[in-house]
Amino acid sequence: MCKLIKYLYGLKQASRKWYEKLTSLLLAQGFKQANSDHSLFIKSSSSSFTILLVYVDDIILAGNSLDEFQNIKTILHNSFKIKDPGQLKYFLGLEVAHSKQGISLCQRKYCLDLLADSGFRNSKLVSTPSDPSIKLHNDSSPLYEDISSYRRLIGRLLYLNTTRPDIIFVTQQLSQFLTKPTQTHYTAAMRVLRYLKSCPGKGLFFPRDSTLKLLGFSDAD
Amino acid sequence: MVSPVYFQFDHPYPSPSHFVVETPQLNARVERKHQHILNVARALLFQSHLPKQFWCYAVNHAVFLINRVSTPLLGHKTPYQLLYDSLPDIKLFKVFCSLCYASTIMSHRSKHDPRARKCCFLCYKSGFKGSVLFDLHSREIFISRNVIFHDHILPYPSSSKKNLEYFPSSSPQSSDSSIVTTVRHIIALASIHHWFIHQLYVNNAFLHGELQDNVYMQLPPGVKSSKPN
Repeated sequence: MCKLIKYLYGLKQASRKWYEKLTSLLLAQGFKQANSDHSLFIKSSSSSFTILLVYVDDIILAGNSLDEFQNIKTILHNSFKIKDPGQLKYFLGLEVAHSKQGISLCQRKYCLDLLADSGFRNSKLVSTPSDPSIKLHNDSSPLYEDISSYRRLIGRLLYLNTTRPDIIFVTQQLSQFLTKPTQTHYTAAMRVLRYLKSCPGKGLFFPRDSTLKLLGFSDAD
Repeated sequence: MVSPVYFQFDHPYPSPSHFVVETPQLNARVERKHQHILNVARALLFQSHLPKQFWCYAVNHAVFLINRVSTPLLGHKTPYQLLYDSLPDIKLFKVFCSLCYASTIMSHRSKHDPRARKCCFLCYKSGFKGSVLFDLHSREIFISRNVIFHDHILPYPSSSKKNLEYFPSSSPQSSDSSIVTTVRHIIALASIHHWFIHQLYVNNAFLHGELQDNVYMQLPPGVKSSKPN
């Protein structure tokens, strides 16, 4: 037996303690914690505006002042030792590309990994995510034998929804049958994968010249 | 719900307590009365900030008030006056949902229990010599006769205040799905505002907290300690 003097990975309290320490450091530097998302910290002054987003040990810094960035990086480095790869490129499986026209976001690697894990390297492609002639419902056909793999697949599709609005509808449809997936549902999920294979690098693009307007849409009923 | 007192005297026929079937022309009078009662009841509810669930008490009190207010249709007399041939007791008029304190029942209380319950007045109930009250703490509705009224104080908080109390300002820790939502928002803002956007990794993040509790662990295999315990 030995007594611990510092936190170790795998210790129940470790993540909480880390978060507490980081939060108190940031608050002391004049950051304000956002109410809507506790991992978001905002610091604004007359000359600069800085946003800091934390996911465990990954941090995103966004803002209009590089001096402020340098200041925060120095403070964090003195307290914790940080790696500074510079411009945001890869965060939580999201690939970020910057250009003069805007910022694009995709999950190409995540999508290809998903296809590889499902054995879809050599399958045929389709151009739409679902077959319009098939309506999914709780049918009486035999249950799909590996329920947990179906659930895992839907979970990964849900995360892919982050940058793939084109599969949101079909994912929502498929996720209604997580308790009792049948062969029909599995076949429909496989079709989504074949669709994804045709365009794994599709994603979102945020153009620089768009305006900051909040638009709402609603259906007629 | 419709005031029986009013009907007996407002109608040209004596006491039409039963309507003839298939005579929709008689409905007009009912609908008109209904509108009058609901107009008063709505005014009571808005003034008191009571939630809509209390509509039945507001309607009840509205009928009580209408029956005791003079109307030009009855020669500036009140419906109550025409029915009972005496003036209504003005002392019974209380502000709907005003603050009042009802005495607690003597047999149910000990020496150190409160002597009164903080309530608001709702209405009178026919057949009872007492008023219907709403206990602001226990949210119980009961009838009491031993009441001290504080008219003009409306204890019920207005709805906007109540909403603020209901929704705490801090939401629980965000889940994974909302962090990617936040990331998307930041990237969209960064793109439009031409912000710089950098990322950092913290080395060995979980090793940084200071340990306050005593935690012991078994030595991992392969590690030799000079002290065996």
